[in-house]
Amino acid sequence: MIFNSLTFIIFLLFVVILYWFLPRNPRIWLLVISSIIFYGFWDYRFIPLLFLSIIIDYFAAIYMEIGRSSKKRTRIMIAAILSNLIILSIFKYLIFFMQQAIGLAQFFTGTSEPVGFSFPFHIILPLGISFYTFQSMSYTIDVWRGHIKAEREFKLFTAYVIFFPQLVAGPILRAGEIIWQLDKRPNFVWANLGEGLNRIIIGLFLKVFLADNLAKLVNTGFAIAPSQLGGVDILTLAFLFGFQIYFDFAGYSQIAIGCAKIMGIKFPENFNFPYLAHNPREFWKKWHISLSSWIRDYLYLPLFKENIQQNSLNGIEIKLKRTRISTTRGILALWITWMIMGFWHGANWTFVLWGIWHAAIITIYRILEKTIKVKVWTFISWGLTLILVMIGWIPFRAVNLQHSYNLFERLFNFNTWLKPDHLGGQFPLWLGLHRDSYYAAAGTLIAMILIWFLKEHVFPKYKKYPIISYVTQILIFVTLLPIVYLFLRQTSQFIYFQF
Amino acid sequence: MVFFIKMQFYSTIKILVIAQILLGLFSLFLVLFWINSRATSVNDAGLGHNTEKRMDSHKQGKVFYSSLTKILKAHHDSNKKKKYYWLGASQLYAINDFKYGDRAAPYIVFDNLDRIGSRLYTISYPNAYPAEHLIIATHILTNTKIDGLVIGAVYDDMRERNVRYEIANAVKNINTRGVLNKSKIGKKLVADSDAALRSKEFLSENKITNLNLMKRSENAIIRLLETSFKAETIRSEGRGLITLQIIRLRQFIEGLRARYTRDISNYRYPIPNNQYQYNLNAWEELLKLAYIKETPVLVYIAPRPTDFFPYDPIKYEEYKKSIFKLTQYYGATYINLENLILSKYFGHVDTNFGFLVRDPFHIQGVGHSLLAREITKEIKKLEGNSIIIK
Repeated sequence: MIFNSLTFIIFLLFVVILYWFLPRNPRIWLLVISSIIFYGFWDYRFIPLLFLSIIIDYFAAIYMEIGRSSKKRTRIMIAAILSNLIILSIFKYLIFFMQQAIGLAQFFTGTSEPVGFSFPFHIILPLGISFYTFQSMSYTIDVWRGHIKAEREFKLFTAYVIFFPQLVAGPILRAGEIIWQLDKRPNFVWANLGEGLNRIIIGLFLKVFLADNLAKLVNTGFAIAPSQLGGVDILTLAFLFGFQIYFDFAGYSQIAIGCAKIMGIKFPENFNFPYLAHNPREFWKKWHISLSSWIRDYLYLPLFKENIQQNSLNGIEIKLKRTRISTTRGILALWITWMIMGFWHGANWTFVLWGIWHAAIITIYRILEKTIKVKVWTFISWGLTLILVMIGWIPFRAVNLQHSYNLFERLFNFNTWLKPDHLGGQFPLWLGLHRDSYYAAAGTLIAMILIWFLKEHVFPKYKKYPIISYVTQILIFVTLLPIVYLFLRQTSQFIYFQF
Repeated sequence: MVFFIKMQFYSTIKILVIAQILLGLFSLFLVLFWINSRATSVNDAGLGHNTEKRMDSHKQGKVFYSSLTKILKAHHDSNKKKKYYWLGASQLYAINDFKYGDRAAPYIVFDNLDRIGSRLYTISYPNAYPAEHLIIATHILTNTKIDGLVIGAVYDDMRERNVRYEIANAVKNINTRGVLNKSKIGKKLVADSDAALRSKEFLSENKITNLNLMKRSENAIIRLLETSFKAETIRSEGRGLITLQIIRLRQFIEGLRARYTRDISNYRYPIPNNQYQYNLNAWEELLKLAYIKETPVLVYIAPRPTDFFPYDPIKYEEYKKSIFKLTQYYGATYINLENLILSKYFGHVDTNFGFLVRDPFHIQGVGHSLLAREITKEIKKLEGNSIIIK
């Protein structure tokens, strides 16, 4: 089921009403069954696979807890992680690796003909596999680390993994944050209902109105041959796609948080105005927070050999007992992490390139931060970060590496920024896109800054008058509801579904 | 102040949340009711004040076509001696201040030609431009034999660039693609058309392609809402209205100077030179192709209001000269109809500058009759035309 559908709205209405009338056990069963229905509406064939992942981690955690020796616990943990990764690899990366093997064989044999083997089958990527695999893996690792106890109640553990608001595209939840909330019966709070509904409407607005309309400009722009575009066009397209993916994914997260809120469950925030970050490191504290903190806690820090004292709280805060590790090791850990981060997004080298881009800008930032002690103006650091992050989206959206290269080649060749003499014209810049693209990019950026300013600097002044906050909430709801209803179409999936 | 503090109590929150839900639903119904009660369809809103789309069918056959496949099928099915094609933009189908009995110019020409055993096929899309005309003409000329081609030359359309999906589809035809690929501009058009098709395919790739449970249930709900309340029609109209408001906002920003000076001549979105050149090349290629195929072509400068000048006068003159030269070089007929229709027979348009201005393009029924008379006269002349090599 997708959030931007009338089917989901009706489904949510039924689930929420039943949820508040049922006692504890039937309530948890309701969450399990409704989540299975939610997932099955898309493709019921992958439900057994979902349960395979759940069973592996459920039993692995219990056996780890029973296991007395540390070695045995570690062996069980490794076996569980490997099982999860094998499932993920088969469904997400097998075809890609086979393609690479064929490519290599062709390269060494110097032929473009088939080299003896081809794909005997077609593999469909199960919806949300990267998200639920990471979520259940984090649970196993947390039990192994001793941060949480193994959950003995199967239905409760299942509800944690497949809870429908976050099942297919996150936020990636930590067991320690959610299981206890699912376990206890929350009290119905009217304010939660109001806020939850508002979040859902805002999320749907971001998706169906902003992301889907920007998608038209982005798809048209990226379909044009790079040779027909100038540097300004490519930068504009990068901005447009950056906004599209942000609205798409932040919209999804808002809806997920809103749905959970209505049921009295608190999800961690997943975005916090990332495009207003002042440096690349800050950007990753504001963008897809649940994934970046997951990667940090379960991949980067272990690679860096940092000792983790306390697990992340809401995926954001962390207490570390810092050990002195060489800078080279730190940088190596960073680059490996980022390549894996890129690869997590999809089986394509373009995603790896995107990961490398971020690794590079974070590395440069770290070096500059330590060496140059000059205070840079906030505006400049923000602008520079924004441009670098947006440029990073080019390989992410490009069809393949060649397409990425062509776009980068045009972007960094400054001759393509200016209009050739023979074309002349009133405007010296080479503009190859429809004028709506430039308006949309500029307008979205200005609107985003204005909303951030209101949220950070205006609304807090009225905190002592809660009525103002509620009235604002009502106004937002009343304005956005008709727009969302008009634009609510199954035009597209959320982008992050494919990851 | 005391009131605000009191509002913080629990019961107030409950009331506010209930109010939020009820007001939200009320605003939704209000908006839907308003959209449903509007008299003018959003599709016609871009045509200007009191101007509507009239693509009436003649009792002897269809006059306007939007599908290139259907037009060719109709062509092959027809037993008429001579077959002519008219390519143009919204001027051909939009009638201002419509009165009973008014007909669009292509309808009248269709009727006139039908009497002498000939057939007219018209293709007109909003803001159709030379590069698109080239794709359509190539598709027609390479897949069938025709007796004449009529094309309206509109200066303002020289700014357009993106090939619309319906026309881009023509490059899927091997013959059309092959002919287009022979020229530089044709190659560009094939690339642009492929881009349009890819863009559409990218969207459909992200669509739910299989009829899974999701799609089936959604379709069932939408069907139910449509049959019960015309909900889908209202939603589509509503989306159009919002899009229209965004376009008006864009116009407002672009026309700030015109608004300030209350002078429409200050509203001139410049035509980028490369787009102008692109379309001029398309004109040349179109006339060249018709010449090779020995098809007579009639090019007319489209009527414009006579009491105000909507274009840059120097560039407009250059444009007319270029078109004239090209028609002479490739043996086509050139007629200038820019002053054919008096300003009073043009409509009005709200350009969002705070005042109504003369619609530079759409005409009343009288205008359509005048245009049809001239075009019929010229088509009849084409019948005896032979190609002159200059």
